[in-house]
Amino acid sequence: MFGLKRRFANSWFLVLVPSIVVLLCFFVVPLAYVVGRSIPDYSLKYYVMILTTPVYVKVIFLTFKTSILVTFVCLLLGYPYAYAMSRAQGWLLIALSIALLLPFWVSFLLRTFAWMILLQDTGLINKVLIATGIINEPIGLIRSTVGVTIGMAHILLPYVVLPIYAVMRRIDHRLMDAASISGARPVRAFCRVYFPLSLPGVYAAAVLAFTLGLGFYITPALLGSSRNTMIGQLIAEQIGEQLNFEAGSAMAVILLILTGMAFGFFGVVQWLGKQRLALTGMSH
Amino acid sequence: MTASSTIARVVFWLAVCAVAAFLLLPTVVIIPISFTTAANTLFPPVGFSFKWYRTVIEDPAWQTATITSLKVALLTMACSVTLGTAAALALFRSQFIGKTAVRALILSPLVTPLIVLAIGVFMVFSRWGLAGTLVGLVIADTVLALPFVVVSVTATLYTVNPNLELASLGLGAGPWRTFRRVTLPLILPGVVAGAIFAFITSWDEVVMAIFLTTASLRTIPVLVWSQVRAEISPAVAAVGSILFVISALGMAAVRLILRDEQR
Amino acid sequence: MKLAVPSGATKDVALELKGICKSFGSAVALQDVSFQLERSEFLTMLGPSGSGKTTTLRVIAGFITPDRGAVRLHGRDVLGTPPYRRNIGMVFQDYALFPHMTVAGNVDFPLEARGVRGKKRRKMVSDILEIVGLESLGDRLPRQLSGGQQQRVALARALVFNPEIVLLDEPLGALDTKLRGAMQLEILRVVKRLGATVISVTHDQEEALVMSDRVAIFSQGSLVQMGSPRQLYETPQTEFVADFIGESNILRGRFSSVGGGREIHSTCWRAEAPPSLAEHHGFSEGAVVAFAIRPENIAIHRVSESDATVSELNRPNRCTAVVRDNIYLGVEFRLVVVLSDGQPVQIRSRNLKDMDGFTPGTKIELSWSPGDSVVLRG
Repeated sequence: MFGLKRRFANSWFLVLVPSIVVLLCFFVVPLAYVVGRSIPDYSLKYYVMILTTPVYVKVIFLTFKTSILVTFVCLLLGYPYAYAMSRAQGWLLIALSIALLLPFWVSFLLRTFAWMILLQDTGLINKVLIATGIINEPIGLIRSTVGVTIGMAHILLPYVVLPIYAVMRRIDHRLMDAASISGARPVRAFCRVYFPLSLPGVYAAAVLAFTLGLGFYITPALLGSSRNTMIGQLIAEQIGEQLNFEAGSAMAVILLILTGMAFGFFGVVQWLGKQRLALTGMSH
Repeated sequence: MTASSTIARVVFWLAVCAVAAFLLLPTVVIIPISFTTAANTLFPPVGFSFKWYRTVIEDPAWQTATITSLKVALLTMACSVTLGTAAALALFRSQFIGKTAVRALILSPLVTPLIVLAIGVFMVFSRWGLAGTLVGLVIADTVLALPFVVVSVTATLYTVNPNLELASLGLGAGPWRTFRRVTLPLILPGVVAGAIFAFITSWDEVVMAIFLTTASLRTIPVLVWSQVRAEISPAVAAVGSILFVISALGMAAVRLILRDEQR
Repeated sequence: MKLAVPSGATKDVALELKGICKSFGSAVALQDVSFQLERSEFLTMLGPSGSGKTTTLRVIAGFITPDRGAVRLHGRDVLGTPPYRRNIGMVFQDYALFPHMTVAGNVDFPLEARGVRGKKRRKMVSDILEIVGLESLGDRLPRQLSGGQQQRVALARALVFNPEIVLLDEPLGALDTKLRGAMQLEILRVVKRLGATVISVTHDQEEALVMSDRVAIFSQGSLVQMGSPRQLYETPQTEFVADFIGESNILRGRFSSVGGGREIHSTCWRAEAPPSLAEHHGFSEGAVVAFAIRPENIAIHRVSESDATVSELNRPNRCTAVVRDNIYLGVEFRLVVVLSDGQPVQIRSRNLKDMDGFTPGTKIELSWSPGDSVVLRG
């Protein structure tokens, strides 16, 4: 019986081969090509060029800044939403889930387009703000950092809520009762018990949002101005319009490196956090 | 219950509702706008008319794009489901050195910045004569859709009792027959869910498509992209509404399929 | 280390519940629950699942607000007070230890929340850890501890700040049987040393009888009877209590006061009412009365063939029966016998010498003393 099982199991490996081939040819090779194209004759001159051109360096920093800002906004909006989902039951949970996941299923291009409609000077947002007297003239929401942040946050929010929610669901609610009867007011109970236990989800969400945000291209192109250009747009421009494949590839590799660094950084932070929690059970 | 905790509670739920509204607002605003009689996308829309839908449906550019999108999405679905189901089964059932690496490889399109992959594919496909072809699009979308299928089928595999396959083999059925009559029906929900994911992924895919399409071969997202950069017209809102309905149906279908699974 | 009582408070009554009612939607969870608890007393609330004992505990802790009724801690009304201001310690069913804090961190937490500082705080932590026997494990994380050790951390955390009352929610439920016995005595030792006032909730009657000064029996949301373990065992007031605590045979008959006596008649036996039955018992002639008698209080006799012809109804507190099962358990015999009206009766005897002869099918005679029986109401 065991021989049969092993033979059966091993014959499955063959079936895996086409997928591996497809991925190698059409995923690994293109990526390798990008790297290769960025260093013609093994020269790093395009990297040098990019890193010494102020405009490009500015774009790289801006991409970082925007990603951080969007991650922060998403955490701010997403944490309470995830908490609400973890405490909700029945129809309320269904409603919150649908509100979260429905946008997920609509292509981000269309969602960005919807934001274009909403944020334009004559759009709904400005109309409401003027009608309620908060402002007198329409503010430039589109073609600005605000617009880009709103658009990107809207797309990344589900990626943030889900990991945090997954962790929160598994936090034992009795722990909050235990904190309460031990004399902790709700604020202290949250800060000392609930929040630390939810941190793994927060880390995961932050990694996801930040690294995904680095590579955004369509949304900043539609909602931002030339002052908000991100790396993705630069790459697209170099390859698609300028036909400067070497420079574009070099930028793409830089983006890959930044993404990898972000993963690494978050991994280290998470590891450090675990060490600290283990070592210091008591406060101070 | 103290007053301050009640206030805190109210504020909290207001905030949550605000976030929910933020999430839903753009998703739904394009629908009413698509029915406007005006030529702009001002809200609230003026009047009620199907003219933009007519415009879009009768426009040959949109018609061609729809057919192209449909072809690409269906072919992508077929390819990725076949490859992905096989891969999921292989990864789940067999043990070999480098299995972790293979699994990582299959899932890595999910974590790679799309723009990087897009230009890579563009440059390589240009060399191989695949750029601007239907086949090229299908291949590119399959690479993107594959991880979704694998994840979906794998999740279903956890719920299947492995002894069933062994029983079938023990009774004399060959591996292919076992797969067809025993395994496949049991993992079908996962396969179908994966197929829907694959279809939607290809259907909505825009970044790769921008590079791999030409003036004569365009998908719906590419057409939207070019229109949207030129002007913001209710016609696009009409397209968006149609696509939204399709996505919503797809999501509902997946939830229904997977809910039966969980029972 | 003794537990503090606020000055000016009623020293004797630590906790008073009056008329507590609570419903969840249409389901009534608690119905008019009232009792008093004295300082340093160990009370166990006992009952089957859903009887309301845990709900009552949560009302005392402050997690549930009752629809009606009053809760007073040392004389002061605490109904509007949230749990973190009630100065009550609680041990939860699966301990609810903070997984991200060490043992010392967990125990320190209530002191931190109360603003206790410095040396005093450290001393209180080390003192309580020593009392529960965990002084060397302060740096461990909860997941590194055994069930019994986690239990002690939970206890230490509940006691470290000298609460007025300590609540235990099924404290031994998660432990295996062997450990349970040892932990029962452990907990008792710790709380007695501190002079703590304790309310424990359990569905395990042995635990209740071993550990408590008094036991409160709950059934379907009501407090059915409250008393010392001995009182409950020897004088149960209702069928439920008689059956829940230990085992009882419940016999039903009709009341008769003919001839100045007080008797209960059935078709196959005649029983004198126990002396404990009150003067003004309120039973009318012919009323149906139930009484309970414990299996160990029934004597069993052989019946010779000649005795079999004697009318059974002549002698009170005796009747004939047929043996159905005879089970040998080493320490005692358990017999199930059947009366002529078909009712089974349980008998326990440690009189091992005689029991062998009572094989199934044997006709025997039972007898008991009226003083060992109890009239039940409800």
